[in-house]
Amino acid sequence: MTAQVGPRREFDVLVIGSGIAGLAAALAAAGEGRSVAVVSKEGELSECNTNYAQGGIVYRGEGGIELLERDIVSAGCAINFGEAVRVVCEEGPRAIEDILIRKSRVLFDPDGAGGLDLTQEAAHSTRRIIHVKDHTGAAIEKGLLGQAGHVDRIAFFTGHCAVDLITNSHHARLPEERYRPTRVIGAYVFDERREEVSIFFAPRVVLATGGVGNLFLHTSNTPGASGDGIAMANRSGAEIINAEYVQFHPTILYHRDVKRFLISEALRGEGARLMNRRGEYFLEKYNPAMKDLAPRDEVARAIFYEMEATDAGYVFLDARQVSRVDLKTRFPSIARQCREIGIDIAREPIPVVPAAHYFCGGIKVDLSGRTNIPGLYAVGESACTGVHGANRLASVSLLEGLVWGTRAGRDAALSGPAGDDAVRTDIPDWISPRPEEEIDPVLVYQDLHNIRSTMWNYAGIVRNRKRLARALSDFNYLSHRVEKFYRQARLTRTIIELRNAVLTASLIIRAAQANRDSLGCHFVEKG
Amino acid sequence: METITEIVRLKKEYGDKLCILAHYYQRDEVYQLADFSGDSYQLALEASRSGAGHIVFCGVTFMAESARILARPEQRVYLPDREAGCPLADMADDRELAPALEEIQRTCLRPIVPVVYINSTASLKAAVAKAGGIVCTSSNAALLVRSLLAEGNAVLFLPDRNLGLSVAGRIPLSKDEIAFFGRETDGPEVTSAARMIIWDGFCNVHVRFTAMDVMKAKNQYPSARVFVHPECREEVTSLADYVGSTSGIIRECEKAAAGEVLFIGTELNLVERLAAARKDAKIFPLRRSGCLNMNKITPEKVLAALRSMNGPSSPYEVFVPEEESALAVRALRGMIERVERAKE
Repeated sequence: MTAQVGPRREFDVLVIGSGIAGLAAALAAAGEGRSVAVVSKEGELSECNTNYAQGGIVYRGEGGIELLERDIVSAGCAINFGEAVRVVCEEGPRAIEDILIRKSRVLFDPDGAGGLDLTQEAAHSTRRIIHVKDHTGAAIEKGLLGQAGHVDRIAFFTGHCAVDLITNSHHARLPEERYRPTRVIGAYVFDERREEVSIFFAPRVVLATGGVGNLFLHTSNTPGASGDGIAMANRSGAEIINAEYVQFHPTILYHRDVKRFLISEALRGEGARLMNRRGEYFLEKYNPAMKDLAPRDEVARAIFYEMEATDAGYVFLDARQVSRVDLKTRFPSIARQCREIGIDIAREPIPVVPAAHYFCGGIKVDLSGRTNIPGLYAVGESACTGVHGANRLASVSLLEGLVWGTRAGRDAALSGPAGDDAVRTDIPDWISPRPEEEIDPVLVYQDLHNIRSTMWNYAGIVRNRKRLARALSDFNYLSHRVEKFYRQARLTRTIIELRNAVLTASLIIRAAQANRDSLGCHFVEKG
Repeated sequence: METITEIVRLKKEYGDKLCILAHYYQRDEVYQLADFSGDSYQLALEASRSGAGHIVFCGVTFMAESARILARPEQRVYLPDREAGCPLADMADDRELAPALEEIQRTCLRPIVPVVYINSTASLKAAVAKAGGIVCTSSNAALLVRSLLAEGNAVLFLPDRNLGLSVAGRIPLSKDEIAFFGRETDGPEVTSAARMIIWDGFCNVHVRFTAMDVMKAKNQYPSARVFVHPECREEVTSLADYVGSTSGIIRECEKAAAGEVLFIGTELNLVERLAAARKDAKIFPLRRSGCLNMNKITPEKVLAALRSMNGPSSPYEVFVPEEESALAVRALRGMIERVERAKE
């Protein structure tokens, strides 16, 4: 069974990914009268990181735009792009009102006195985050999907995994195209169910493929976050920047069967303390003043060092001495999840581990989401707009996805379709290797696992030159092998992801090597 | 008490820029605050006729949506508890409609026109309009279905099964002309003889009444009359003396003779209000059956909604996207036109 040649489809705009940024782009483009295709490699459109965002989204608060800008830039260690920060702060509230509240009918929690309930999160100097209980992302995703579902001009393709972007200069058979300026004109897309590769032609392609969490052994991300868009963009010549800035969440639940379950910092706020396997409360060693309430990155590093020192895969979060609040009423979902795996959080410590959480870098884009390749846009976590700088402020990423998704969708729609028809006939169908090799899935699994543990140990929370060099040489060898797989094997989603993963991982390593100074979420040991 | 005083003060301050509407099923403290009360259809019409810029709708989501759809663009509609939903309305999803029509059309020979009860989400009304269908209320459902059948169509009626059955009974249709369809239904297949296909939604408040309730009432007071809503089970409607919409039941109670004994099978807040209004008669609930969702609205929440009206974004304001709203209006207009034509 080889991958068959699927149909050739034509749209004005192709959006790859269906989180907040992708859907906002699709809605904006369709709103300007364009035909839009949204493709997702998942079986359900809602299977994306947006859906798992618990906290909330930045709205309006005291101190206005200026104070919010200051908080974002201070979290980002002042390497943020000022113009981009200004855009997200200025346009954010209106985008929330117009797209989320009015059009998508997201019901944010009221405060009971006539306004929306505003909460505060780490490093915010005021209350300005609105939320839907503790499942804001899911409510937003549902609202956007509901709205987009009513728009006839948007066609959805689930179980469709993009393989590569199509450019005139690389894919057209006509030699002359090689010399013309490169532009993106569509993508080869693998339909997993029918096992065929279709061509989606579109003069504007928006990458909204999300982050890179699954390149790391421990992550809070959905399994699909494997850096696909970043790798595709890089292969077609787009710039990737700030790739060394991978934000880690200090505590997710550590368990064989339960993945990506966040244990909120609020638990430490109420007095829970981190403890190593020897029973020592270790944060006082690292930050005697703030102890367990030290900044996220410090806490994550302390945990990483303790895991190393005690040769353990995890540490404990001890909530036994919390007496100010009733754990089960204040933290119902954490208590419930822990109970399901047999842990009573009032009586037993919770095993936790830090986790790759958010990718601050990405495909370099301008204020309209345009990359350096004409026809190619990137939005959301896969893009780097400059909003986050060296570290992301909590609850800003959903807003950035919404604002840039909308900007890019509108720009893609209004910049008009380029007359690509002539080139299209010159683009060959997907060519499958003959004969195809059946690849042992264990080999692919091991390669993925290899990437994830290499990234975790050598390019994760604590980096140094030796580790990074070792990781890069491992990946150089691995890339060679994976590329060979990809050329010879029957196409599957896993092989596509593996190929993207090894490339994106290498990009992160190279960026980390090039930046010798610790800043924000990039930490390098000296020596 | 302070809450009420404050609401009254704000009402005065806003004057005719504000209109508070309350459904018959609202709790009394809220009902008393309203400028107008009525059933869902009357209230939606009232909202559209009102000159007020702010309409606070004390009811459930689909009703506030209907008011939003019929209101002018500059008017704003608020629902004091956005979680006040209607389980019946949620029993038919707009996304289920197209596949259902396709499936039914496979065996049904007649063209199928969807008819959706006004107790439904705005999205479903929009989907029905897209499929060439119309909206109906409990009082005009039979008239509309009859006229559509007379033109040679089959009707997919949704979302309430009991209302559908009572309409079918009034046409009247024979057993093999009726078929069932819906989320939970694996009943007999839709045959080529089917003229009315009925969805399987139901109202929690009204299906609580049983035939036993009617028999007990009649046993206790042999002369008593029983009035019930058409969303009640068939076993109940078939034993009742009068079956009609909320407004119909209110009218019948007003017409009742002094000293008469009446048992009412509908929402408890309304029945208690009717009983208080006719002290000269004996009006009892057929069973105490209240609507959880209607009761979510409290004076405190009404006050919060009033206070939200000047903010940049009110958590209580109701929105229906433009495209959806335009389609839903088409389905409502379809109803009005057909009713008017039938009168000629």
